[in-house]
Amino acid sequence: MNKIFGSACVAMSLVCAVGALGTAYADEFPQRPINLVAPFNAGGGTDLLLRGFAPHFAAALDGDAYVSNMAGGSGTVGAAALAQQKPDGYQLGYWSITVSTIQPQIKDVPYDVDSWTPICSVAASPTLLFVNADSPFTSMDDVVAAVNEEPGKYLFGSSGPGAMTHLTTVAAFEGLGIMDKMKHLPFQGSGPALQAMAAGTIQFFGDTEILMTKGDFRPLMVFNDTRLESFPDVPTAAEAGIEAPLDELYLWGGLFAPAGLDAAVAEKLSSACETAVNSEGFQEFAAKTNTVIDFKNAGEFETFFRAQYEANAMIIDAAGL
Amino acid sequence: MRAYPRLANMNIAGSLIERSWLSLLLLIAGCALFASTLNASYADLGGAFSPVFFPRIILAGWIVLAIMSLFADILSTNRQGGEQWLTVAIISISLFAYIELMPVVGFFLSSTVFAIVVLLSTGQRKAIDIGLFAVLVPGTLLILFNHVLTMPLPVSPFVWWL
Amino acid sequence: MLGSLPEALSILFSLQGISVLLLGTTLGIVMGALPGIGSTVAVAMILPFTLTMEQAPAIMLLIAIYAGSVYGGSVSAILINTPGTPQSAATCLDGYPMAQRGEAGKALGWSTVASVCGGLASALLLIFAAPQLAAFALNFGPIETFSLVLLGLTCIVSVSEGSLVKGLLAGMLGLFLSTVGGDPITGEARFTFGYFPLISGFNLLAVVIGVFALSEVLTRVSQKIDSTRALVTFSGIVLPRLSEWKGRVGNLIKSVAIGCGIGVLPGTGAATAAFISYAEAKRSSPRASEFGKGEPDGLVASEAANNAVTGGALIPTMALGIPGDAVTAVMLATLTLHGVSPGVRLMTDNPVLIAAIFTGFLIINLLLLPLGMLVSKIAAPLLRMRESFMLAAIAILCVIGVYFVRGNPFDLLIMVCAGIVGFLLRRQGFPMPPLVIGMVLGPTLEISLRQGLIITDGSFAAFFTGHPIALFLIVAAAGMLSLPLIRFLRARRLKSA
Repeated sequence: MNKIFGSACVAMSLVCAVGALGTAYADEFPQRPINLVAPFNAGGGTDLLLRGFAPHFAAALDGDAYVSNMAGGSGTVGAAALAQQKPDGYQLGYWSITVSTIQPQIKDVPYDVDSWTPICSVAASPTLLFVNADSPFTSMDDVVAAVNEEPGKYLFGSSGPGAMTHLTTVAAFEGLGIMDKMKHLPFQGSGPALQAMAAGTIQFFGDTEILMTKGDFRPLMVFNDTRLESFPDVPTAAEAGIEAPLDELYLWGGLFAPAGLDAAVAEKLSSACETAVNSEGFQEFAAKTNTVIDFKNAGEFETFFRAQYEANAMIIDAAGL
Repeated sequence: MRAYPRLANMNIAGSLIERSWLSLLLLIAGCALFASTLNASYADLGGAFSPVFFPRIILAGWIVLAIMSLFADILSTNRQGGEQWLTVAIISISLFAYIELMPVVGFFLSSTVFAIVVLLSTGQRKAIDIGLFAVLVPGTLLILFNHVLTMPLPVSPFVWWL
Repeated sequence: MLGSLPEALSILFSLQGISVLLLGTTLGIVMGALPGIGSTVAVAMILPFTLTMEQAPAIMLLIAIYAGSVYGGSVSAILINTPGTPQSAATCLDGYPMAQRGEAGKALGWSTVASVCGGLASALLLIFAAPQLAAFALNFGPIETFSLVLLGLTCIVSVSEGSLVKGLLAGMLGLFLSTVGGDPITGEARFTFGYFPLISGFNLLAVVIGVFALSEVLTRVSQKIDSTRALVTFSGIVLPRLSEWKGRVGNLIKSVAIGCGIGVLPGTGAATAAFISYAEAKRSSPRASEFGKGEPDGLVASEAANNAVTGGALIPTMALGIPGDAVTAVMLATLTLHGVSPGVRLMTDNPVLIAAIFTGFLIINLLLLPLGMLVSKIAAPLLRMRESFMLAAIAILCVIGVYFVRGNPFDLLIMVCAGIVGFLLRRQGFPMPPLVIGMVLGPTLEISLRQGLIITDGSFAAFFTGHPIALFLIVAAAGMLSLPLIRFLRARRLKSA
């Protein structure tokens, strides 16, 4: 009887008003498993984080969620495919700063800042600029002096053009005004770049703390508003003389749905995301993987995302992309 | 009597095309691609920085080798034939249809249809065998990937589990 | 490290340790044998299950899956000409012809023994020389890598069946295909002509499965199909007799050495190792003319080399904490999840764990032989399908495999096109292995060449000065290239004399 009454209600609200339809839809949501798209190959950092997050997200929604990979074109292939999906809330993507704000501004991709309904941000780690442990440089002043003395001699690496690692080094050297006196050497991924760093082929690299602590490297500055607890002696970029907006860079990522998602569903997803991020299990996962959790709800994330889109245009310009 | 030399000429021309059409096509494609790298839309950064630096080297090699291959084809005397072109065409087209349909109607339904087409076009006629194969093989794979390994293949718009 | 051995062995020979090794290796073989479910996907798939396990068993499970799947990839390459991973492509060249001859069991026997030898040798190398080799690998900068890849490209000469010109042209096609998509230095889209899906380029596995497996399906249906016969006759692995190894041991040792060496170096990988080793075996074998028609030497060369890479790739991972490829990256992530921080101090800080990993790797390679025989015994009845059923099943499996490579529907389109174009190319006498070699080596060749030129400020001549390793490799490459020419000239002189 209740079931019949329930479906009658749904049927009535279908006829009544768009708002009522939305609420009923949101009440019943989710009715089938939710697909979380990782725009990179299985086994990468994004994929790993999402696979750690999915079970807690599913539990918070009282439903099912699975991770699927759709890789290619530095993450733009997955994002472009999701942008064309129906905004029904069953298809979400986990985009990083580069997929959502950098790539659409340097490549001709079929999505832009308006293609999304931001759901929540999950993680954000500041990046660091670092050198080999046996490098003669101990501060940014040393670097600036050395580069000015021998222009064209020093190389900085990246995991690929337009990647976070590229933006970090560009922000550093553009911020210090020595960008033109250095050469950029892109690699295919962070692994080969770090090997080249250990071998001395490149002198500078920029990435998050997780990656830096894997090898024998020495951080020179951190692109954060305060110094890091784990490296109290390493100055912030602002302290090293880099002006805003180049002084803060975070590798952030969060969930996005295609634009036009029903507000009530977005709200439901956002609060499930909050529960999942704060769950004991995910906190433990994050602690083990050195993931810096940074939750923002749908509204906050939307503002943040749009501001980042604007701010990153400047770094892109400096990088000559 | 007079028709004979003409027929022979046509045959020679026909088999010449039959032998060398692919090399000719590759030569044209190589030249067209090389021409496209001269297009100004690529950033001209010079030397190794230029995006077309490496492809141009490769395409130049391609063109030279395609010319050599064309000559080799003309000089060769190999002849082939006797293929079941109709079957090849049916299966090629059904492959395209299969991958286009898969995201729309799901893995199971598209695979079932595809399997039936392949089996019929290769001369299988036993309805029971065909039916069993077309249901069991995609069905087993669907259960394995979607429900055991939770690595989902595309599903149909009708029910989420098929 | 040897001091921690007793403790490591007690971990491995516990009930959990043994069951993890057995289960992991079996699963790995099965997943590797399914086309497209390559090592990376297999390892990523199993990752969630390891989260609840303890440190050592978790990492052991992943390594077992890794080694098992590399071996398993050769099974489908031999039986149905469908390489599960690009590194098994070279295995198709002689494995499939052997299977067609009705010697599928024997072909799997050769590949199994060669795989086990390759894996075991690389395990020993890992145990005794990991830090030293990792340090040596650091000598390989972009210029050295470029020279190595150039040497690798000369394989095209030896795998060009029939026409050398057509082989080289196919190689150029492969190299060109690898340049489509995002430029590795500037990020610009190349040769996409405004069509967005092309931005992700031509996926290697999609092309490999297309030109090997799908084009074979089309070639089969283009001939009249005998609707009652099975495609392969196979009833289990037949190990080669000891007497058959006569004159092949040298080839085995050389192939293992090539695999280990290339595994240690950054940025090349198992597919390169398999092809280089195959080409070298063909160059030096007294049975060179039989290559490509089902010669066990070719099978041994590619399988020994690609399995030897597994241990080699673990060396920079364990000694430097820097992943060699996608699979080892997942392993490092697993270590992190279990509270072990990978890095240069990994080996000194966790001697017991490392000893357990290395000896476990050795045991896994010993397990490959019995488990491989068991799995293929169980799978054999499935292969007794009639030919048209088998062809339909292969096509469906190809689609699944490519779908899972990266979930990109465009890759499926590439696979189908590659299948049809591959069929036409083969019909007109173009060999397909050179195309695959070109695609495998293309990206590394391009980026290392351009990186080298950026470092030397655009001077190619500077590649030869101050880079002795590079100079040696380039000279070797030139030598390999001129071999056919020398042979040709010598043959002419003999004729005229």
